[in-house]
Amino acid sequence: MNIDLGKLIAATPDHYNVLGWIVLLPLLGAILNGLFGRRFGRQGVHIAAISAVGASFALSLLAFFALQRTGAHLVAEAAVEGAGHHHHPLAQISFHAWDWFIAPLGPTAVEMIRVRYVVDPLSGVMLLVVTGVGTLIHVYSTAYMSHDEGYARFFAYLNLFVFAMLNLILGDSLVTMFLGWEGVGLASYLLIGFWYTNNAYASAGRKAFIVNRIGDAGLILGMSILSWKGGSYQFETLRHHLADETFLTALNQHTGFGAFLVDALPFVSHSERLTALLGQIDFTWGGAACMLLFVGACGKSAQFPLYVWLPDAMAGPTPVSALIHAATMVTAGIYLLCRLSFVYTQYSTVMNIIALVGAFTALFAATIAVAQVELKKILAYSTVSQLGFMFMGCGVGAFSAGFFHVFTHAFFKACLFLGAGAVMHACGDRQDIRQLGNLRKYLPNIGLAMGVATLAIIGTPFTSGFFSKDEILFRALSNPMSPTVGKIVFGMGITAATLTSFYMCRMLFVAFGGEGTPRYHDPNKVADPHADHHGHGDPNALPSEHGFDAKVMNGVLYVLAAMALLVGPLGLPHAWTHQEGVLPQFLEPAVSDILTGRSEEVLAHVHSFEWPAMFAGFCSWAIGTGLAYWIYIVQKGKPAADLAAAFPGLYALVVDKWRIDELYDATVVRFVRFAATAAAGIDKYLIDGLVNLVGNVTMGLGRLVKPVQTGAIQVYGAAIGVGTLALVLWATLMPSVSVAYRPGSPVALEASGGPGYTYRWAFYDPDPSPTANQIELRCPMNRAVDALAHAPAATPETRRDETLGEPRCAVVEATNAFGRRALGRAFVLPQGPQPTANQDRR
Amino acid sequence: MDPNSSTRHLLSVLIWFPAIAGLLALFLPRQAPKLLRGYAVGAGLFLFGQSLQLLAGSTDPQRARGFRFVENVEWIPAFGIRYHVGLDGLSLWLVILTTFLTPLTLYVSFGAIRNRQKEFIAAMLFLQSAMIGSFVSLDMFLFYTFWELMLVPMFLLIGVFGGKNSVYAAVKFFLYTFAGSVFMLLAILYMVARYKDLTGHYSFDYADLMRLGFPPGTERLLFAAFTLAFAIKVPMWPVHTWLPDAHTEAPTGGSMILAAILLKMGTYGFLRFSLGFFPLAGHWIGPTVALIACVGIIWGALAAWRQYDFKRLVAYSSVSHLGFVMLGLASRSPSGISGAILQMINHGVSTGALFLLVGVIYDRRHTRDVAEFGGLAKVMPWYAAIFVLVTMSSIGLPGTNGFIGEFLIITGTFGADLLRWSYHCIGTDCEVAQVGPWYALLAVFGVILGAVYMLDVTQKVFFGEQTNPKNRSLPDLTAREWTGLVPLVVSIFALGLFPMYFRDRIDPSVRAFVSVYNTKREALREEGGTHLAPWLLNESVTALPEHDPGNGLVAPSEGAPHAARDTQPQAGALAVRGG
Repeated sequence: MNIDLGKLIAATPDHYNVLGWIVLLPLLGAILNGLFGRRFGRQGVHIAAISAVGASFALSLLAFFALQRTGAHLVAEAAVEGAGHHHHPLAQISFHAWDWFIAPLGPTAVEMIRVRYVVDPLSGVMLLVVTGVGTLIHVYSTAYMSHDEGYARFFAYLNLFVFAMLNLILGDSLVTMFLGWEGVGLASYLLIGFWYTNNAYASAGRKAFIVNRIGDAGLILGMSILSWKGGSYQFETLRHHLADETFLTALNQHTGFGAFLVDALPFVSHSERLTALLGQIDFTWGGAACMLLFVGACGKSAQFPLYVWLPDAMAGPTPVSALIHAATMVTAGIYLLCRLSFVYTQYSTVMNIIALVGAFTALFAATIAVAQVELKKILAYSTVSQLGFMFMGCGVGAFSAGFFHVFTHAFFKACLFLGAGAVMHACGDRQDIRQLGNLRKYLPNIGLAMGVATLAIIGTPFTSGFFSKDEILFRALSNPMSPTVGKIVFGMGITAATLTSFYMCRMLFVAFGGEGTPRYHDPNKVADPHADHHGHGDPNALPSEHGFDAKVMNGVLYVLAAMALLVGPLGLPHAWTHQEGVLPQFLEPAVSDILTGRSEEVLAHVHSFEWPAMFAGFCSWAIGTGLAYWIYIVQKGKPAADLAAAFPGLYALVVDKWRIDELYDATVVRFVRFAATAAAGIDKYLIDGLVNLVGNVTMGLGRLVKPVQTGAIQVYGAAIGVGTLALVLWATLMPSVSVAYRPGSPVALEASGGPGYTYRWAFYDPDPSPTANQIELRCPMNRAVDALAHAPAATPETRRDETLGEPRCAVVEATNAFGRRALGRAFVLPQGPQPTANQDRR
Repeated sequence: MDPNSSTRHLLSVLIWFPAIAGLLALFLPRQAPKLLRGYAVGAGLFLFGQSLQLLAGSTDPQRARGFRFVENVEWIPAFGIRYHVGLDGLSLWLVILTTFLTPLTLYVSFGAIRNRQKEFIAAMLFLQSAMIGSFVSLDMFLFYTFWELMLVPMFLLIGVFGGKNSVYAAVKFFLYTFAGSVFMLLAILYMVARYKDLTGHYSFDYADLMRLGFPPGTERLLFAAFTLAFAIKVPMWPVHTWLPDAHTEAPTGGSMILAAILLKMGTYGFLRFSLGFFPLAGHWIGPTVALIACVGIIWGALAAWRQYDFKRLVAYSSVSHLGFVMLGLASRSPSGISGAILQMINHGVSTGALFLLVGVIYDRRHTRDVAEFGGLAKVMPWYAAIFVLVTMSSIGLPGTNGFIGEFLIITGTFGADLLRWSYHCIGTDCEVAQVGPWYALLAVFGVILGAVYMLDVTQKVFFGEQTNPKNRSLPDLTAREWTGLVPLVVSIFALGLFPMYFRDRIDPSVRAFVSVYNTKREALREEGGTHLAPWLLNESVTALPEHDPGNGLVAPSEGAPHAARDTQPQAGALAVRGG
């Protein structure tokens, strides 16, 4: 049977409902398990969760094929039209769920933000990774979490994460993406603090959320600028706008920030040095936007200086570390950069900063990883380091190379984390590599899978990591945009790669190498059948791979290891095939590259670096691996211990992660804490002190006039009586009248008065050019008297209706029973048509 | 004006029904508490149902700009005082929020308030009357009457039903807010007197007084008098210190109403009256007000972090959130104002829910000291889940209501062209800098700090080991509490996911308001001296020119290349590029 799904789908690429289901299913899973999970039982919970994500993955495959189909159509059409044969058209399929809200684009324009999902080559690949790896990790979790009492909650959170991540990937605008962006932050917060009774874990979750919020703040500001100057929140619209001179000019406008500071700050103009220094600060709006968005990316993707949350995030269950904090969520920053690559390529300074930050993070995190002893900590710093590589790729303008590393990294890092989790599961939650050893004998399957993944991450030739890392390094070395920065970045990258080989092999050799039993095992101790440690049995038991749980985990590990080994050829280097790899070619319409449109000579020059870079990469691999082999296998770790003993201060510093957390605590955190205490204190003592002072002074004054209040009712009564009488007398003797008019057409005028009054009404024309706008001048008294002279005496009736075409003065004379007279005047404005009439007119 | 005769007096029903119901409640037998409670909630729900009629025709593009459901009859003709009420997009949702929250609050409060239920019901219903009256009054005398009337039942709610130090808090609340409003009264009387000078007759009517123009100095003083009253009510930094005390001592229900609705009177008044009457002064001081609002955002968040009393913390978070609202209003950009109005509703829902949640553990433990708790998620998992959800709404997670408001305010502020600082002035010739981006920068610090204090308290209360034995066996949410929370949670998502349903009913009025604001400002710049503005001579206040200058919510002029709001889906055009 041959159902041509693609054809069916290509007909309606803009109403592709499947996308809605891809996103919705995980949410339904989360809601089901969140609300009713405790009644489902374990089986029910994981069936619901896995089927939600699994179905989402299946539909993603469908969508991916539909995308390819659409792409093929477009290519065919383009070929027919004969246009753009060098340029692949961008294929997209989309689903518009509903209009979310209207957001401003700067001061004048607005745009409707839609909840609309788009699959293009970039999001298509990411979609498969997230749902695919996500499904695998869901399966793995059924085994890993099998003894946890929060089983339903765990799967609800995990599904929620997938839902948010899909929003992040598929959202068609910055705001929709931000919905997912913060959503994954929430899921991450909940999952890091999953074992919430441990306060340290809860703190780790909070830290992750808050550090991410700092990045998100940058993201919001970056969005504001980009939408203002670039004229849209939508990626596609932005892409079109960037080809438009108007918007490009607006983005390249200088903010004039330095000049403003020099001008506006009074103290600066007195100092020539300050003036010169601040005057130099100048950047364009576009550059500022890119930089701020990069801050957001740094937060989510754990780059220096916002990386500090990621190592702490290992407090979460290991599947979470694998899915969220290695394979998918943390790559969102790179994904954002790739999405906006068409903007970033315009700003070479920002690109250089990104490359340098990435390279520095890669190197910096690698140095920390060298001295860590816990499996998950090593892997966490390794993740930070690998993310640095990805940013490096983006920063040197090779966005698809950076993304290729996202792709390969997802497999080998997920495999490594899940392997670490399997080790912990088997060894009574131990993850200190010094306590393990010779695990290859006890956990051969896990060892094999982790070994393969390690080969990939260290860039062993022909594995996936080799191809993706090599591409980044080569593009750094050949960077035609800023050769110097490129070479610096390359140097740092090669060093980081060497360290990567070293620390990964160290981890593997120490944990899986050696002889005898694992070091934590005490052969003299009698097994205690009652001991229970997180439900994993006897703490002294030897690790084993028996049981259903282990089989499930091993199965998942093998799949991931196989992927880690095999996906490399999707990005074969240009040097081998003389064309771009499959994946970069596929991504090309969606992801910009600084090489696009360069001359043949430049390209030839760039590609001349390919073999040297590959050679350097191979050397770094060989050196790192060889060194680790020599130290940890041949010398049994002795040189490392000697080195640590020789430089105890440096060693302690590295073990303590360069004490960056402590630095932040002592500076930023301390400052904010101080400010908060000050604010609370000022409120309590200063402001409220003043308020109470005012209150007390008033009370004091009150005491002064206290004697007036004699408390004698007769006196009060007499005072009230006299006062009332006086008022009544005055009101009776002295007439008073004023005119009120009710808006409307015709105007209703009304004189107020008292009992026994008689009235006379008159209208007269106002002074056409009064010297001031006062009624005395506009409706002069002498004219009023003239007008009244001819007016007939009226009945006590107090209402008059008059249709007015233009402003007039009204006067009323009231005479009271004692013959005393009073005049009231009004300047009466004609009323506009009433709204109902208004409506008819329009 | 409204053809439908059944809704002709709808606003009067909304204003007076609760007061009458409150009065009748006083005659019901105290011995029948069930009857009393049923009566109160029933009256509230009936009124909520009635108020939903306000939504009818609320998206009609012409009618929605102006006042609807207008009732305009004489009250005290000698002084031009009228019973003039009307509703537009600025007040629509605030009225509905009031009718929505009152029965909910009443119902939830009956869990904790066991004594003097009759008086509690009466006070709440009177309060509702006064609040709705303030939102819909179009006569300054009427407005001021309702404005001050609100104080009395709230004073009683805090003083009689409050905690240990309730009398201090009640008096502080009363005097603080009263002190501000006295100046507003003076300003109103001054305006009426000037109006009499110009036209020969008195009028307190909003539309009439809107026509007044003043010399700049006078206008600034009047603006200050109005704004002081509103700023205290909001409360804006630095006149916010009555709020934590009032909240701490008020009963749960009182706190909910106070935070959710009463504070909005300040922001609403600032928009409608301060900015509406005195656009030139607003233009002059607007950037400063926005700056103070930013200070409030950060200050409130910082101080909230250092509070050990749960309710004080939530109170300070209100200071921070209402700073956002004031920032949006002071930006005077259409999106900022729309966002601010939406944020008023959001804050009402989220903070109402937060106070309800704090009330839940207060009822169980009779303490609000955060340090007394810890690890509650273990014993009260549903409570913890709802609390985290409301926390997320409070810190503006996208998908919840808080995000839309904050995002619109921040982006609206960012591009606001009326937020300008002048410096280096030589005479009237100044360098002008756009400061919107800086204010937005300050405001996002509030977004960060919001997460800091809310997650901090969440962790302290819900996570970690159970250390306090008193918390070992606390029951999870009761049916009554669920009933109170579910509508709020639904509102959180309704506002967060479908904000256009709400904004479609707000925006036309905001457009009209901004347009009048700009027109009046330009006109006043030309004129000098106290005068009746000729520019409105032939216009009713809300009927506007077709083109709205400087107004971002309409389709941009042909020069601007930006995309306007798509009324027809253009998915097809956008989805397949290059085809």
